Amino acid sequence: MASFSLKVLPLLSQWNIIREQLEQLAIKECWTDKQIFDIILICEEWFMNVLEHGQCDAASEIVVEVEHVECKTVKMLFSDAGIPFSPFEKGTPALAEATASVDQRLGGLGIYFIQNKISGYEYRYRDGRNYVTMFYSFDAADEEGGKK
Amino acid sequence: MDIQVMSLEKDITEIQVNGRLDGITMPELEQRLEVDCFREQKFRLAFNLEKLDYISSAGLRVMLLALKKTTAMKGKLVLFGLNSSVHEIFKLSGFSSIYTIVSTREEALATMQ
Repeated sequence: MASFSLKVLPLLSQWNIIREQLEQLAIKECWTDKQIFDIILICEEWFMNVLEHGQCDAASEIVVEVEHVECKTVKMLFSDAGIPFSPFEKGTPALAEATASVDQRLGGLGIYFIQNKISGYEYRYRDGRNYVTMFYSFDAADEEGGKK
Repeated sequence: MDIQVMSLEKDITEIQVNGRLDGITMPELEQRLEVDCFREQKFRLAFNLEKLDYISSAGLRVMLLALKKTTAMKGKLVLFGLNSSVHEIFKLSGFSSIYTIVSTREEALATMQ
């Protein structure tokens, strides 16, 4: 199974570097359009959340590792040197709460999207860095799609 | 992202958004709406999203600003041609209940009559 790892600066323009890597991985792994859409959405929302709220030093690096770990699971690890922040400890925000913030450039809706797309996550804070690992299950996404 | 703005019948403006509407491209759409629509007093907008491949919460933000502005000016905003993934994002966010979303340009124009 393929993977990539890269280090980027906490700048908006760096998102395109991550996205291009994700698209290349998607081609290698023959992901469907929906799987690509969901995985890019999860990664964009988390990256933008770190930029908006992480208070990262401009020279600090954000580490991104994405790996197709099993036949039907993609693991996405983001590590940043921002303030300690466990994104999902409060559970899934209410939709009204999430959308109320959308025009204030707050991350509520983005976190809401992530929580609706991932099948699991891990968080730890070590040596001054956040480590957020998110898992995307193709099976769970298929089930979700089947319900619609 | 590519944006085309076209005048249609009865003061309706069609805005075709192609490609990706994300945190990087969102300011471009915001600016085009301001310059080509709102400054020109155009508040009857039909968004053609047939070729919009992707939208994130940043993209939804600019769509929400457009809706607020057209509503404040007693205009109208309709979306048409959403692919299944983009439509799902509108549903997931609850935005599908505050927007008029139809399938085709003809339906959009009929809604705006």
